[in-house]
Amino acid sequence: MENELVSALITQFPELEGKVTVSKPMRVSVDWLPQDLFLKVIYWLHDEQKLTKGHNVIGTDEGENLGFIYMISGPDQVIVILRTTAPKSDPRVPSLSGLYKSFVLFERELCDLFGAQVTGLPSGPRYPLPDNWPKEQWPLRKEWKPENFDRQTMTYHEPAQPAATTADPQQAAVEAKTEALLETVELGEEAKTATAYVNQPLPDAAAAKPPAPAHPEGDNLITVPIGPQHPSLDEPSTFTITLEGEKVEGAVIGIGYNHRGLEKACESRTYVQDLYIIERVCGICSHAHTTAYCMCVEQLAGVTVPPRAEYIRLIVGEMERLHSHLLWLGVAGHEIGFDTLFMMSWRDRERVLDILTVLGGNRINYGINCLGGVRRDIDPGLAQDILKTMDFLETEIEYYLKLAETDSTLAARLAGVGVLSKADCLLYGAAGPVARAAGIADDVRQIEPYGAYRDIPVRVVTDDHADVFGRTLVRIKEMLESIRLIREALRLLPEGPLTVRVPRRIPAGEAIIRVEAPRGEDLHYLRATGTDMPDRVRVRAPTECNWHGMQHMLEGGYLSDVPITIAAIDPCYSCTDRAISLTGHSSLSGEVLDWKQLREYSLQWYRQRGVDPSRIDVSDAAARAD
Amino acid sequence: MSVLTALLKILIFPGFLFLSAYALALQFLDRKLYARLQSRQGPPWYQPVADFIKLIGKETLIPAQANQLMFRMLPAFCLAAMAVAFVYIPVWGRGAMFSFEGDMIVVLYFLAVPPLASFLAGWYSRSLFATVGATRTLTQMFAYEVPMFLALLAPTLLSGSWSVSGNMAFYATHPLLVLVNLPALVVTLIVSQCKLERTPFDAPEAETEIVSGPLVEYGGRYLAFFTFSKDCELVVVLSLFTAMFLPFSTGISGVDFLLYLVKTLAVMAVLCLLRATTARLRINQIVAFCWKYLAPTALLQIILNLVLREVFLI
Repeated sequence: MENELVSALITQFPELEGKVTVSKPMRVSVDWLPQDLFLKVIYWLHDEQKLTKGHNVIGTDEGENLGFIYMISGPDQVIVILRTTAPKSDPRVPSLSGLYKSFVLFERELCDLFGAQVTGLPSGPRYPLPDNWPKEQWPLRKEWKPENFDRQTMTYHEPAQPAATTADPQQAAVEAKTEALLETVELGEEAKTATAYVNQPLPDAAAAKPPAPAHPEGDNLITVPIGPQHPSLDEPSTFTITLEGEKVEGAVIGIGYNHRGLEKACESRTYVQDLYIIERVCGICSHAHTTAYCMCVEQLAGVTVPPRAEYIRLIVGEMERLHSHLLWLGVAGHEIGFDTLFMMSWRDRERVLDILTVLGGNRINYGINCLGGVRRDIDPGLAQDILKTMDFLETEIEYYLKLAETDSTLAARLAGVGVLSKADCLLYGAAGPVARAAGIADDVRQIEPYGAYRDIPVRVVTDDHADVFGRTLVRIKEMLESIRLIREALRLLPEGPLTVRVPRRIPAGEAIIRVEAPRGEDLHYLRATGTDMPDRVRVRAPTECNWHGMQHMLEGGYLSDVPITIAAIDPCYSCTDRAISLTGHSSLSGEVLDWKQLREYSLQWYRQRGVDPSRIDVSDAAARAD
Repeated sequence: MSVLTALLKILIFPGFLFLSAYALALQFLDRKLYARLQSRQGPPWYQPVADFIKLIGKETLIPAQANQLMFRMLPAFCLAAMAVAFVYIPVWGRGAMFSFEGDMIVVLYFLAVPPLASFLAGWYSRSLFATVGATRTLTQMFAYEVPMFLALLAPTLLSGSWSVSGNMAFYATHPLLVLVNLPALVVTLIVSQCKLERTPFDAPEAETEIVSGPLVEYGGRYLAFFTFSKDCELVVVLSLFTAMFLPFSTGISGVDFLLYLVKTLAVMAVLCLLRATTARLRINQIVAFCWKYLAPTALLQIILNLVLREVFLI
């Protein structure tokens, strides 16, 4: 498949001769191309070769230039990697979001983190950096050093020159800080209008409408903010829902509250240290992320993981899927007011977590993976315990399946809700259970078996409902499949060592690995330059794909269905957002308070209530606290 | 009856004090049973009292845009309505504390106060979620009022008395006729759940959708009294239900009181089971359900009772 594609490319574009290679099985890599040729190639691949699935867009820092790496694939699942560059002095690159709807978020990331000017990108708020992030600061460029950034004032200080300072240095520092406070972040235009959305923006007409009144008087449209804090959201995000009665007329999605700068952090740490960061990308699918990362490093280092380690990775991965799906089932039950289901499935989830605790020492970040293998072994006693737990869970999950198929209130709330048809799934690049519920057999474990999945084939679960009900069925049936895989893996568990040695310095090269996380395809990109630190790490969590179809799923539904529709993609906000703490978001109130303003606000709040904080002797209080 | 005994009856037993104690006890039993059905431990017996005391001690915050007077008065309205309605329902013995021909209609009207208070509370809070919740409360009220009235009036057509006590006295002499009212019993059981805004009919206060609906801005002692009056509403609805559809009594006051406790607890257990085993319906589904299934059934019951009454001249 790969070779056909390569020859087709070279026949169509003779100038690509020598630039196209099959870098790895299932990967066709195209060398850096000038932008005009790159555009011709990608349009041709999209239109003629039907490579319509956009996986990822990665920005890189190439010294004088910015690099843009696009990953697309077609029906035969071969990922084609296309590259183009733009000079940093004029970092313009055309947006491909018209071609690949799923590129919108990735391209916004290019703008925010690399300072690229993506021309033709639908207007929208910034993502993933906070709204009060200073202009002209692009954290993923190599010359940007996190230690020069002051998080309190949100200002970047050029490395201090050892200039001749005559005045008191302490005084100077204070003055500099005051200065910085005074010229507080001017809100960008886009931040002011930031009714954040991921998807295509609302039509201009809708955006130009006066904001709906807070109280339904005169106008029958009301706007309900779901988030940033709302009982149905487990992590911050904003869904601005415009309602006519109970019907959702418009939905605007704001994410990006949890950017923690993990990718930047990875670049200044060694490969082993990065493992701990990657483990913490997500609270639920930590194993999937480390598996992908370890596979990247192992591929570059050219080591082969011992079979026993691969089997243990599979077992832990499937247990992670079990506990993730059980957690989802509980959340889904809670969203539709079925708290009994919530309590029961979370009770069962504890059984999986208990096993993982015994195995890894932690409930969530079990840290089983290490470079070159796994950290802990499964001894026969533990294997027995796992099998017993699997027997218990099998009866429970079969009961949930029966419940989902027969319970009438459950069906009434789930069927026909949040529909994303097969065509729409392909258009918006949906991944994981969302795509599988629409009848697309999109499962990396089958498309591109890795590790022990090569020995134990996966039966992909699909469904044709294409709604929340279908996603529920897919997840429940996948749990049964996971139990089968775990049993099979324990039966076939080969003897042997757990790890092989991985060198500290990883040879130069790049690796693109995808892994099936509980929520869908998890794609990692790693580039090494021969040192002990990676040059670029890009984590593309499955949720990032699923956001694009969200607006489509919400609109036309009911307010009651908003929470379950959001929950049905099993969103993992921190996975998607991955940076620096956020002090304000303007999507609702239109104002961002900085530290000083927040302090003033709190003083005023207390004064209104008759408390004068200025009279409190802070030093005295501090002394007493000691 | 002297004024003093009347006051004692209204305020202490079987009046307001008993109502309060029983409301808190029922809240505990409801929560405990619900927890056990979900394989949870559940709260200790004093939890409702502890919650109430704690809420009383909290700071009261009233939104600046809210209508201050209405905001403060609504919990009292709600509680008072429940206390008055309870007076006309038999608890100790066959007869209620007070009764007159037509007191059932009075009870029904007082029972309409909590949802109305809830609606007004949401509306006057001037908060988004509260407004949406208030609209839902009113929508739901329009859905269940008709089947509820029809179903509750059905037994009185046989007994010929529009008084709760009179109804009970009639069925004490004709206990087998209770069986005729079974469809109305089922309708009222479901409608009670709807009226009390419990799952699957808790769309007005759906926590995961509209935070907690009409009462979202309430806190402190106003919230304490609102939730307390909702507990009282549970007692009143259960008492009315047992008086209308399970009117078995012995004529001995003490035994009848115990019987009353057993009957209300049993009905509450059924309602709790319903709450634990269903998902929340959407508001449009609730309206459709009430009008498509409950109202016709109640209407059929009325026709059946009218025919029976004419044919057998009871």
